[in-house]
Amino acid sequence: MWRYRVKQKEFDIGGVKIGGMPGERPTVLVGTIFYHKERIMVNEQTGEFDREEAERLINLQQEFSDKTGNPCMLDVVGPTEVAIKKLISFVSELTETPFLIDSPSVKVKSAGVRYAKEVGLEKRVVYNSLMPESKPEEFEAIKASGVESSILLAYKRGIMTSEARVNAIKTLLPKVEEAGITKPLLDTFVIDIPSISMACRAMLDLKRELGLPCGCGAHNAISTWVGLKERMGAQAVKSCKVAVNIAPVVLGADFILYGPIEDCKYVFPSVYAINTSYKYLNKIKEQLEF
Amino acid sequence: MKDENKVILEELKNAIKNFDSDAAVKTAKKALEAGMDPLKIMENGLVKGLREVGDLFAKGELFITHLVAAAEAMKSAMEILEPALLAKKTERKALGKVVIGTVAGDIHSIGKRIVSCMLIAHGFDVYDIGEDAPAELFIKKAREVGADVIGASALLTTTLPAQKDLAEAIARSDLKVKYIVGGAAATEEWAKKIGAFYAEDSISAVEVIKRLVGVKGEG
Repeated sequence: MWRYRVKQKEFDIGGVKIGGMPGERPTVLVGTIFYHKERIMVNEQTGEFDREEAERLINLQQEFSDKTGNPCMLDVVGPTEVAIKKLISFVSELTETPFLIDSPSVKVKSAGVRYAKEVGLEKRVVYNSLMPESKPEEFEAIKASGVESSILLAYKRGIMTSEARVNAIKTLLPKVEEAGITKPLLDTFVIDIPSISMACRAMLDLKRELGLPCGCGAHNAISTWVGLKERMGAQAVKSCKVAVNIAPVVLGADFILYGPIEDCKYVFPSVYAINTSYKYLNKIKEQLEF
Repeated sequence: MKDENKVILEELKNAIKNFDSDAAVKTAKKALEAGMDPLKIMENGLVKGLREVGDLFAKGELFITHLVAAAEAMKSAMEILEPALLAKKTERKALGKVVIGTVAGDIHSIGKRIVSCMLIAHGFDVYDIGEDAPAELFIKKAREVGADVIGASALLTTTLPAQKDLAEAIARSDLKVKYIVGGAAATEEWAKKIGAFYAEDSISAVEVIKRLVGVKGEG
């Protein structure tokens, strides 16, 4: 729909290209797997999981990626240090898709990137995530691992405006550069429905000013919506999931962490629809410039 | 109460409901200049506004951002009222005092923040000791403020043992506090096992804590 005056940076992460002008390339879609309380996790402590079902889900996302042309990644969430190694091994053997190393625990994420280095996967993984309040030892673990890409999450206490999100990223950038991150992916932080607009506004500002790839975890807006299903019915959850994932895409997001991987069947086609429309406008060069 | 004062309280309530820190500060100053009691300004203006926001959040009509922004607006206005409260040596009769934090090893703050906002909205004094908080810090703060309740959040299965450590530390201490746990990793079964009360979310946390401090009905 528009072009930025600032040159947009493009990164290649494990063969997936990310970033650029709106409409230039399809949005990268990241599905989350092995998240807390997901039915395929059998034992969070040991990392035992339903391999057959995990394989089916990863292949399902790949199938939609192939159909739509939207590149995909996996957000691999590990509950424990033992588990994250098992999950990384499984994912890296099953697929060539790049993947994010994620966990609510910093120790687990650090163990994950150490392991990625041990097995030579450090160029294929993305650390999820660093925040302005991340402690020095987290940056040190990343530096030691040789991992080049990380999600930079614009979250800190009291973050109630888009401007605060932009400032959070600007505070973080020199620190991540010091830690060896050369391919930062900016996540402008969605926690609920009102925050989508702030995240999108911050995304526009950051792309306009810094030209770095931007996106967000839009699905959080639905998982934190109290009483959505009760008030509006089960179908509302699905339609709202699509709506929140689409909003940043309409505004030119380079990537979306769209939530549980099984939602790929709703998300990929809807993102594809928007990307296809924008691709045409890009081709006939009728975009606005700002 | 003078009509003029009623208008000021309504303005103050609306400032909170509109998440407007500047208006909340300006109106709090106006209320003090009009000679109003700082305690009444707080209870009949600010807390009422936050309570309405909290009720709409519980119904799913408002969201986390609204709740936190309303709490921030209230905090800004409280900075104006606090010197006046201290000068008058008036103490608010809160429903209870709650020390809240995320346990050692766990850095997650959002869920705890929501619970804090909801408790403040319902008339509790809340002392948030932050994240990655060791058991000793919960105990120290609870003793310092004379807490009725300690609330501990844990998002990770790996940090659940810290909730148990805190239960043991409370049992060893001379504190007469009730202990409640929550967070994504905690369950009712786990809470029972460690001798704690449990709340699944911010809305049930308010209900359980009200019950624990002996508040009946809507309080």
